Amino acid sequence: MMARINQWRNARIQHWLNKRIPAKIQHVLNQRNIFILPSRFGFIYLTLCCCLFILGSNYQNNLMLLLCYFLLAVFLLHLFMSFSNFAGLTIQIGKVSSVFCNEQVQLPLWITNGSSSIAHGKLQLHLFKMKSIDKKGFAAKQQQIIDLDNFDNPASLSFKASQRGVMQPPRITLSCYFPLGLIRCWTHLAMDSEIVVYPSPLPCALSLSEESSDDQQATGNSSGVGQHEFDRLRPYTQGEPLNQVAWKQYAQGRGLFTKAFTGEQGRVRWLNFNNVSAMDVETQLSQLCYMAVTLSQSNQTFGLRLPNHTVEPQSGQLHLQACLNALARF
Amino acid sequence: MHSSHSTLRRNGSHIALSISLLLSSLSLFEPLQGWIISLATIAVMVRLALALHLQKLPPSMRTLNLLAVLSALALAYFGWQLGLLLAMVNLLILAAALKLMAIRTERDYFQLVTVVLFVIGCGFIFNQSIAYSVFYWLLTFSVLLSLALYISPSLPLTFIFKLLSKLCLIALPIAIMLFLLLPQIGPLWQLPTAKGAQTGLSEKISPGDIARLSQSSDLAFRASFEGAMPDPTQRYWRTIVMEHFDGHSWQIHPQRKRQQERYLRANQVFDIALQGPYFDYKVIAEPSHQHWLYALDIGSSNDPRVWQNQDYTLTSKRPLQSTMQYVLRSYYQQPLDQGLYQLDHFLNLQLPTEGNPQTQQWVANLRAQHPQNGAFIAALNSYFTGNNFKYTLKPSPMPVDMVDRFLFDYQAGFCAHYASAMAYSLRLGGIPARVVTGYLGGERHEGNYFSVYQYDAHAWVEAWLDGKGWVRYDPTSLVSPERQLYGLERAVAYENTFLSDQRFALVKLKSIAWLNQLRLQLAELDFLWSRWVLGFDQQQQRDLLKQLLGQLTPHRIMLFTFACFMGVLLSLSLYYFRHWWWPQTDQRQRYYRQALSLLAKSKIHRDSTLGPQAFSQHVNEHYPATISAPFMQITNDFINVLYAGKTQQSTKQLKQQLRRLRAGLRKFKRS
Repeated sequence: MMARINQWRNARIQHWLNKRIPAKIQHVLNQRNIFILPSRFGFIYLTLCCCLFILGSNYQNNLMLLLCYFLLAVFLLHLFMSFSNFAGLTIQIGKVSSVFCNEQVQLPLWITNGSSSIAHGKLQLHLFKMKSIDKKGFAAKQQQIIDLDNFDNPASLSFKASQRGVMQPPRITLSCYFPLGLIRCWTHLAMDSEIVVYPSPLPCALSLSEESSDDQQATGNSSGVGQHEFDRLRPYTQGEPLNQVAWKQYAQGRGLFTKAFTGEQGRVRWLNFNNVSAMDVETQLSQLCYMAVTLSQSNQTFGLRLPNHTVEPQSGQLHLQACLNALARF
Repeated sequence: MHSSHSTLRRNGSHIALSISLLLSSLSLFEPLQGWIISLATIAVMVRLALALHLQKLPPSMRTLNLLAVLSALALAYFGWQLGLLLAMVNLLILAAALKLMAIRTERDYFQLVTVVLFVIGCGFIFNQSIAYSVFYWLLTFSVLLSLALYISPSLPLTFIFKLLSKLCLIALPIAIMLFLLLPQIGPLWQLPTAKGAQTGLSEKISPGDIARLSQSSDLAFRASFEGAMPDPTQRYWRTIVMEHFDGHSWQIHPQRKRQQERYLRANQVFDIALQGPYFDYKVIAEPSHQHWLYALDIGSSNDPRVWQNQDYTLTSKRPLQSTMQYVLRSYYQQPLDQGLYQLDHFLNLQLPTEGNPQTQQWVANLRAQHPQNGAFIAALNSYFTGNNFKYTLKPSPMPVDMVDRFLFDYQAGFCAHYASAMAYSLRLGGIPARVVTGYLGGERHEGNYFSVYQYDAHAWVEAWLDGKGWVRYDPTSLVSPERQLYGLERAVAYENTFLSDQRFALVKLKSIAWLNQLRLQLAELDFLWSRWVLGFDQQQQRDLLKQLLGQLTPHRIMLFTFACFMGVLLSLSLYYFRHWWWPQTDQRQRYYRQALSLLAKSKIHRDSTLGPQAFSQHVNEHYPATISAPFMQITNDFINVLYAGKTQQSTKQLKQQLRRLRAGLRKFKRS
């Protein structure tokens, strides 16, 4: 029962937040997206003021009353100072680099001051997390504290990616207690960006299908990567592994060449989704991922065939990324 | 908030907080126990050593827990007879000291801040002078400073100082406004008072007591008159009436006490018909932690806090914890003849069962000679005047048969001796008589007010005469008229005992003109402080509002309060969000604009197609270095601010560049 209520409430909050603070690449903090309430210390402080008031009234002690009112006035001013300090901050998300599943995602955040004010104090960053919501499976609350008077952009907030796929970054909570810690100004920002989470590589035997270049599927699977004989030199393209660069020729001043081997030509090898047998789709993808990474490390040329997508055979870093992307978006 | 974040430098905040705690506990040296102050000092030392990296490891939790248990036991042992208030203050400091050594998390720190602020508030219970107030405000500031350092560790100290000073300067007027406007509520319930803190007259006097009080130059109260002022012979500030004599000391009669409590409980007011000329004045009483109030005969007050007793004294319904102001009207010619005749007679003819045989014999003889009351009293008085009695602050001790020793052996004593001897003799002679204590005299200031000090304490006699009621007799004034006319200092000048225990009392330096001037000015300042700050109460608040609003209807008060709050909120939001209402360009951009307009005046115009950088280059190529160098600096900074969001030069440097540019242009024009 409680869980149901919680769920319903969280959904309401989420819905409300989505309407109030929709995802954007850049947020400028203003009265629309700032929340402001006394911090826990603020509440203790107000209790202290109450105590002083009662004590001062009972002892008919005007100085104590004055102190109480002074502290209250400080509290009131604090409200204004906190808000005007926090408002105007601009938070922009940088490019999020893709990661494998179960690795840490780094969200780069560019935090800059507005034109009219300079923010001070410590800024606490963490993922917005509601009670018992863990659908996306973000790992435990990680907090990052930056000192607005002394930090280097971008601030980065990291969390563990626990599910393959493409996702929006989670909501980020930023809070600031400037100047005296009595009042907390905070916001839950949704950043408009894409995080690509590749499947985590799962070691397995390589299973490649060979096809001739005219796209006819070959029969047998070759196990392992065969040894190939040196065939010829071709001009180096960026991204090719350095161990295949013809250093000798380079030293002779003839420019950068890559050694090409037989076996690269004619026959093209494919990683085929349908040829990988595993319990479920995720495991299949993980295994494909492992193979792609392994092949890429030895600079093999290969293609990737998924039911909904095909990556043409190629080699090199960019190709690997294309493959991984395809796996992530499967 | 999170606790893992201990790497940031937060030593400044700890140092400021420790020092505030140390100073606030030192200022409470009177109510605090010595060992607690030393514990607090040690705790501060430990914290400072940690903050300054003289010591790496904080004391372990086990040590601290052990210390806490031991201290709690010690406090329970030493403190159980302290009374609730003092025990609380001691406990508070003790807890703060232990907490200070054990700050680990953010939460600990904030708790400690709260406790220190509360200790500062408690300080006002014990110390209310101007100097202490300033001191406590400074401590509050330093606690706020500690908080600010904690929240923004890498802001420069000067910046934080400026920020906080601004904060305080704005907060103070708001606080004062709240203080003036928010309705002052009376005490909600009876709070524990500080035992042993009672000052001033006590409810029982032995002959030596008042002499001891006379060594104190503390202020007892002030009285500020409107219209007529009393003569020196009228300045008998009546305070306590003592009707029970045990042969040595006088005290309030238990029966009288019970009667008064009964009346007070039943709210049965002692209604005195009053007429004749009167003095109008206001008394500002210093906190004495007692109920007694001071008034000239016969004082009456409309103040609901003041209670009129059957013996014509006034008491406050609550002990005077802080300065109390009350308005009085004293009908100085009204005889004191409206009390309960029966009870008055019964109580005031009571005699101790034994002792003082010589006096008994002597009075019996005297009474036989003078059966008339008037003649008998005159004979008593002439005994005092005719036998070379002396008024002294250093009377010989008279433990046994005090009246006998005083009247017949030593013949030298302080006011209590005289009053006691005369009241006793009158009772022996069958005339109801009692001892009244209070103050006699007072220092008169400009502005029609008197300061009455503890050394003005005095005791005199009241005797019941049929048809006249209670009549005041002051045997001391017969012996030493100076006491009545000029005060204690002149009266005991011959023996040089005035405030002899107080070596550095300012009052003793009256003879040095400028020092005396200074003393009087300080007293004046203190008077204003007591009257307008410490003594500001419900009545004065109402008067103030009446002056502002005219008639006081709840409607008006509410509207006015609301308007004040809205005014404050509005002006604050105007101030803090001014850049929303009046968008202003960045300071740095302004300098660049100024530089451009300076150049334009010298006919160096920036083509609208030229960017700042290109224009700067253009200037560099076509004009001498005296112009181009400073302009380039300003341009560079402008570009930096615009595109990197950072500045490399201070405003001061930029201003200097502008000045150089102006000078360069002037030179250029001339040539």
